[in-house]
Amino acid sequence: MHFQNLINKLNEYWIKQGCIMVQPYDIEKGAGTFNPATFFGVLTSKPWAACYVEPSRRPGDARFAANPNRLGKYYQYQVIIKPPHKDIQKIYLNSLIAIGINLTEHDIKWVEDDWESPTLGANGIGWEVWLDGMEVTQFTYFQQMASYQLFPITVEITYGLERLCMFSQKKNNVFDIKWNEKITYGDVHSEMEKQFSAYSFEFSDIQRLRNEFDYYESQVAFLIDKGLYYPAYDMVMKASHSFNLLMARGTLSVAERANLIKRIRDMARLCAKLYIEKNEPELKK
Amino acid sequence: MNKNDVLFELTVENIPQRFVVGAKEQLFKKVTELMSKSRLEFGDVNVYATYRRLTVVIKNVSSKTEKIIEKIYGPSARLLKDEKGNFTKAAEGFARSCGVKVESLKIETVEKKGDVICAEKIINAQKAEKVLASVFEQAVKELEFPKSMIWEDSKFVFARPIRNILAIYGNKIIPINIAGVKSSKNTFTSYFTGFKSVSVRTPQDYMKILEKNHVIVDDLKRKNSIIRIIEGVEAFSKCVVNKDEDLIEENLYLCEHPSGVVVKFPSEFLKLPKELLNLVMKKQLKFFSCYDKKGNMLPFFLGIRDGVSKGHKNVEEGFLNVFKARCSDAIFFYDTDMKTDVSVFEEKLKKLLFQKELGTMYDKTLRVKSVLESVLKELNIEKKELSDASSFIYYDLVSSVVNEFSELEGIMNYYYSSKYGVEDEEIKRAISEIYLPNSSDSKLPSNIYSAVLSLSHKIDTLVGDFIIGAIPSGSNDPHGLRRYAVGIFRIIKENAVPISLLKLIEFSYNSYPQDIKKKKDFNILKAELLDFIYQRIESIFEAEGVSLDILNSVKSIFVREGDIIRIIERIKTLVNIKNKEDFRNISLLYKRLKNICKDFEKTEVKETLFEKEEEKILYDYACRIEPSVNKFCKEKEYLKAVNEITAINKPLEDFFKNVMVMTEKEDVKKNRLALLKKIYNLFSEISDISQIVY
Repeated sequence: MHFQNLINKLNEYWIKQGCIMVQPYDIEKGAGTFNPATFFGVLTSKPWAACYVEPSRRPGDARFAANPNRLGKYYQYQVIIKPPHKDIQKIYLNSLIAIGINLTEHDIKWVEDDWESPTLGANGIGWEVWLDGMEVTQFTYFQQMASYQLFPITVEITYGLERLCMFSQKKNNVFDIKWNEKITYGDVHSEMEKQFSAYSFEFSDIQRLRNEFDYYESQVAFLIDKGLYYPAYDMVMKASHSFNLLMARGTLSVAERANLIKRIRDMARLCAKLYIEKNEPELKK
Repeated sequence: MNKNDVLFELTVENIPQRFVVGAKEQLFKKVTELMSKSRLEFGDVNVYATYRRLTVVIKNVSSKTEKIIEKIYGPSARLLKDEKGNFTKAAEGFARSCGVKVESLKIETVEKKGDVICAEKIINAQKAEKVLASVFEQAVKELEFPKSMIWEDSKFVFARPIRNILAIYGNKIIPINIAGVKSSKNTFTSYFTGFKSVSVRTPQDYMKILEKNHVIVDDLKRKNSIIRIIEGVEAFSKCVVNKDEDLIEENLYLCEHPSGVVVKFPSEFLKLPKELLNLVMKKQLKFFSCYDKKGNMLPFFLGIRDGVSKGHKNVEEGFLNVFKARCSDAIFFYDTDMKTDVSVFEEKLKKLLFQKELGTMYDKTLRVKSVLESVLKELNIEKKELSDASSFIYYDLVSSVVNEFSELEGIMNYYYSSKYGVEDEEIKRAISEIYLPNSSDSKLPSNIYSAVLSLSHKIDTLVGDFIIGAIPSGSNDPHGLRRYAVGIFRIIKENAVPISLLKLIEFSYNSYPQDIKKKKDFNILKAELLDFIYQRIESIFEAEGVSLDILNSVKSIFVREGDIIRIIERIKTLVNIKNKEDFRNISLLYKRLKNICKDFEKTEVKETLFEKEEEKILYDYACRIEPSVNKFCKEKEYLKAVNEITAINKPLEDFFKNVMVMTEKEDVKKNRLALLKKIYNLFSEISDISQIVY
């Protein structure tokens, strides 16, 4: 199945399950979880179901397009449902059938893996789903977001689109994935990977990134004070991306790293707190 | 009474494999306990588990409980009514707490308590289904897991979401409600048959129905099926499969219907160290590695899939691809390390902290080398190549392979040895075996060089940590010092390294720089460390069934002398003779001796002060055997030494019978005490036998 068809099929499938198809959020982020549709979406008691493709940036994972499995930027397919249906595992497995995988002819294992994001103050309980040994999905019941105990619980299903497509097309190199009949993933992304690898590892402006981090942090406080949690949260995402770029340069000591992570977590917490106060004052903790 | 079997099956979204065994044990215990309290008669309880199912089968459960009258005894009878004849507050309270009317309270006479208030509570007969429902609800509620979650409205806490409950007594449903899930007669098949709902009419049908749908619920049967797969591969491919128990168990709880998939891989991957390949297979992919008779890895592995044989080609291809991807990473790390100059390793080692107060790993290397050289000298072993090679023992800690796969620490040195310029096979092994033995039943260093190097490495950590006071307490042992202590004991014992532990401690202490040494005086360190190591030795011997009195009786000698080989011999001897009559007699006499001369130190005896024949005989006897006892002790012939001493029974008994130690004459008394002390001391190199109890 072509890369673009895979996305189409997943959209079709999850829309049918009642998800709204939101779109990628237009700020760099490390994972689909950072999208406000997830970050804010899981915090309150209102039912919420959404699906979307999320371009995710991991500057430290970039490999100049030379590694068949690693990318500095890749696509996640994110599904969140609150509260999850009791058949959610089956519903997920049916999504694999929808993209052409016959479950009776493959091996599926759910291997314990409790996801967490120290920068978002988030954690959950769940699994990596292995399809014939390859990890294609992270399946998580969120328990905490922005250090808030969540209730009701949201399920997050994150597909690694490239992995899934490599599996479906039987490719051993991500750049060989067929985007459509004529164009490969490499045609679209190879040069971009190389240039961003060079940027992430050699040419990013370290001092500037540090300054930006401080600036974003001050903006979060300022904007929260004005009651503007959405713009404030944009700053959190930006701070997190600056942090990821700094990590890629290998310039952060262990202590400094822990310190920056804590600062991002505190920023995220402020946004979540205000969001809950404004939307569900009775939930205020 | 009518009896029926009970079936209870909880369907849970994939329970992590490491939780399952504990959950099974708890479930068995709790159900058995609750059933015993339930007043239902019941037969065998069996618990089974897969990654999705926790199943309990109880045989022959009676159909109801009998009506009974339960008597509850309360406060003294005089508290029933006050002087006006009204029920007291106490009586009313008691009646309320028992759930009976205050008028129904009676008075009964109870042994030792006298007349007390008694409430008679009628407990009506209950149907088995009702009783069983509460048994299972409570048992499930009480299960504990290493980590739990919530997922639904009632905020029920469990390892993973509960999705179905099948609960029947005979052919009747047991009405259970847990976490918003109501029980029924239905269960579901596995994912590869589409989670099909199937109805189970009776407990006897359950296993059969599921088996027909490719779910083997019985763990033992499923395990045997995995073992048969392994044996099949061994027979067919003439190989030896790595039958790792943990790996078998992991696969056992990752499959409801195990099928074997043998996957050939390109032999170029075999250029990787086999330990590394095995780790990639086992840890990252849960595959079994295969070997020829000589232990060489073969270019195929066995994977276990959950399902039937349909689409085997797909799975084979998928397994191979993921294996290749993981190996490509490993090859990248390994090649990087092989290309890295040794000087880079050394530089990195200088920056790698051992412990904040004890310097870097490079500092540790220098100390281990100095200890090693002292040990070699002590043992009269000449092997310059070994002390040269000891500079490399921690190099692999800064390699990319070990950085990625910490389990390979040590092992990788073997593969990097050509980089280090180490050629000698035994020395190659020595620098790769310094962490052995790493558990109480693991392999030992394979040769004497490995053994002394491992000892030097371990004693350095123990001594260093004890100097700075990082001594394990309770379950807190971050540096694994207990394991190190056991390791030292096992090496000296099983590798038969004739070195005294005390010497080892001395060498190590002296290898530390002055500013670290000054943090703890040697004698204090020695006492603390020997005491710590003796605790390990004690628990090893206790596990072998040696009684505590024997172990206590030799402890003070060990803490003074610090010699593992000698302490083993002493313990063996004592175990051997403890129940022989001669020894029993003498140990009783020694208890007396100890009491009499416990505060007395002198052993100089003047024959001129003897007044009785028995004194003389005893003294002559002691003088005669003393040299041979000492000689036997020195030669670790403790049994011979003891036999020599036990002959003193008779003269000693005679002495006690006819000689009064505490006489009025001070000099005669002191002389007698000195004589007894001398006798007492005959055992001082063997055991404080007064501690032996019968």
